[in-house]
Amino acid sequence: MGKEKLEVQDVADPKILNPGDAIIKITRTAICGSDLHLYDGYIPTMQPGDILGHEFMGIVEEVGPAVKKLKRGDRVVVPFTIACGSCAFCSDQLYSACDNTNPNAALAEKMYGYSGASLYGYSHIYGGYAGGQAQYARVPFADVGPLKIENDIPDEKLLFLTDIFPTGYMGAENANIKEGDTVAVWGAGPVGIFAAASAFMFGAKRVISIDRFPERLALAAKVGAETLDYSKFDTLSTLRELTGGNGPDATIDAVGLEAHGSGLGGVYDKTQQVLKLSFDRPTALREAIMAVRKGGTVSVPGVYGGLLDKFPFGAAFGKGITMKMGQTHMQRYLQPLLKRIEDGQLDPSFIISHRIGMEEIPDAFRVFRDKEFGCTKVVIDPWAEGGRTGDLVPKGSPQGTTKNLSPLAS
Amino acid sequence: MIQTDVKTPLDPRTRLSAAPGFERATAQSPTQKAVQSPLVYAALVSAVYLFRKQIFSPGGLLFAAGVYVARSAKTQKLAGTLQQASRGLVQEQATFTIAKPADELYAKWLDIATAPSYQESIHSVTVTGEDTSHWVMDLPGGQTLEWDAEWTAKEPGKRLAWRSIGDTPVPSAGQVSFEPAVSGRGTVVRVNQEFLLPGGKLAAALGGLVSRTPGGFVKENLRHFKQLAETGEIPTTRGQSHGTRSAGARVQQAFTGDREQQPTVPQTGGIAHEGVAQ
Ligand SMILES: NC(=O)c1ccc[n+]([C@@H]2O[C@H](COP(=O)([O-])OP(=O)(O)OC[C@H]3O[C@@H](n4cnc5c(N)ncnc54)[C@H](O)[C@@H]3O)[C@@H](O)[C@H]2O)c1
Ligand SMILES: [Zn+2]
Ligand SMILES: [Zn+2]
Repeated sequence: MGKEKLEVQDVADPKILNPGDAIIKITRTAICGSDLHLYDGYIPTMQPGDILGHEFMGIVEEVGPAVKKLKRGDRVVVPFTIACGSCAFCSDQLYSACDNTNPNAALAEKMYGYSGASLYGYSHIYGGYAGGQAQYARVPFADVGPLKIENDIPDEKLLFLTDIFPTGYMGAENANIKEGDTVAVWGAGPVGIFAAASAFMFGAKRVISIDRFPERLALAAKVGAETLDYSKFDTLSTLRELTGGNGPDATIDAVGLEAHGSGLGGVYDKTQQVLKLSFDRPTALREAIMAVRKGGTVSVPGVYGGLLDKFPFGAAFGKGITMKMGQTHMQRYLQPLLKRIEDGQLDPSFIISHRIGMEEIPDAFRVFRDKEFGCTKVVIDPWAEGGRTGDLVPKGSPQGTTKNLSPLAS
Repeated sequence: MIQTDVKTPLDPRTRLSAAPGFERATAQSPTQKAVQSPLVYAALVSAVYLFRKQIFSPGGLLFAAGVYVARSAKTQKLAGTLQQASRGLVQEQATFTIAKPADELYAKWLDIATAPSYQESIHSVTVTGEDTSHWVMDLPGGQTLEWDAEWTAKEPGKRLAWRSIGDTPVPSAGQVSFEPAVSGRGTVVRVNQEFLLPGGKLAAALGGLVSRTPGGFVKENLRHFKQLAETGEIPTTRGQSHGTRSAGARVQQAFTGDREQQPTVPQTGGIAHEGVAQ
């Protein structure tokens, strides 16, 4: 209900509002790194009463009269971008640039000068649609988004098709990786880990994951990445050493606008952000540009929401780099990545650290943001008995090990 | 040199000035006219200029600058805008590329009885004759505004033009043109509209519609037309569930033009549905 304020409330069940809508009974949903930008107040036009959440799957409960591909009882994964499927951008598979799904397009144009696809539960400039950290959700353009699941693979292995697996994958695709390349990935959060795993799928020989949390770096190592703890080593000089003095062929910023900065630069960025002089703390992006080799590619799946300060454009220009970025064109990747999961190439559920109920969501946001209890990814069972699983705080951990946990989590 | 003028003027025959009642509605007293003349305006600008800068620079030079400013295109335009504004003449243009063939879009627009499905606040349009229709618009506070309109041009697949007829508080005219996009994909659709806004009823209406200027209406109506043509629906969140909204949020929604509507009531009985509300 404001910055860092979340509440679980009973609200009316969602209704079909447009002929192409479906109502989904949610079986699993998750908290994303993108949600943290909302939580910390960096994405404008959130309002009290907004329902968050954009990573959800479930069972079709009801469909509108125009829906042809889905029927009640179908099991579906819902991608986080809402696309119409028929505008010029959707025809070009640029789904997150869709023209037709934002009811507040005028507002978005006023603030950003353009309007793209809406996202579930992601502020009013992005459409103001109610999100999926809930028991039910309304899914507009239901013939275009949801991916029908016709196997019996458990939810947890499929859930990350809703966002972070395709986002990591597109992050790697955008990096123009060629056979034998070395790729550095900033951030070993869910997006960074899937970007690292995907980089190998595109032929990378070496992937270097950069973060400061050992449990996250351990997950990156699991998919085959070498790891660099930036709290112990200087990122730029270490990368240069590791790449024979050249720098990586491609760099991926899977951190986004809330990068943790060290030293004076970090303090400067944070001050600017707090004073609202600039929204974003682009530490990782700056490094990704400074590190990449001449003529290399910088791919940016990390989210930015405003203006950047001290952006090393001279280096970017001088090196003649390519930059690619953006919200993931989700609908493009659902089928091919489902196939990879079905074929057993990857079981995305390995990143899950916590399985919780609805009542535990407000605390889980804090735990996930502050990386407490080795938190790497939180999955929610919205139908858990009593709204709690007790998984958030490790069993036997003394009360009070965490700074902020509210009493209701005990 | 090829000059590109993105403002498409209305066909002179469709302009409001050609509409009956225009002269009466815009008649001005000699003093009104004098005040708005570019010359008086120029003098005013120079005076202000002189007054503000006299401490630092010789007056003669400034006067020359003042005259220059007054003669400049920008000032002329501003004077013109002021003149128009005092008459209440508002001219708006909006352009979208729509991924459908021109003929199809032309036919959709010509089917004018469907206008309420994509034009905000239009309650109904009844076709009353071969070229005429009757329009009812909802105003805030349960009032309505009614008028008759006629087609003034029908060029299949290319252009449609219309204007209000008879005695109406808000004379209006407009046209929509359909032009194949340069890319060969879709049609560039451009709407030009003119309204003559008096005070009174309409001022009240606009007061209540905080979120949309006349230009906003023209643009959003065309956007809705595109969405309907391309997808068969207009995206909406109106009537969706949400958590407790604060009064501030409601004011914010009204001012930002957010189209979600208040409020939804928690259901009674059945499964309680939970959502995380921020
Ligand atoms: N493009 C898209 O469509 C899309 C979709 C989903 C998520 N995202 C974005 O991807 C980013 C990451 O998401 P996530 O879910 O993995 O979030 P996360 O918060 O779990 O992970 C971010 C990781 O970056 C690390 N980090 C912070 N500062 C760093 C620095 N200076 N150098 C190296 N590592 C640093 C953190 O320790 C953390 O492990 C977010 O910005 C999120 O919004 C984008
Ligand atoms: Zn996400
Ligand atoms: Zn689209």
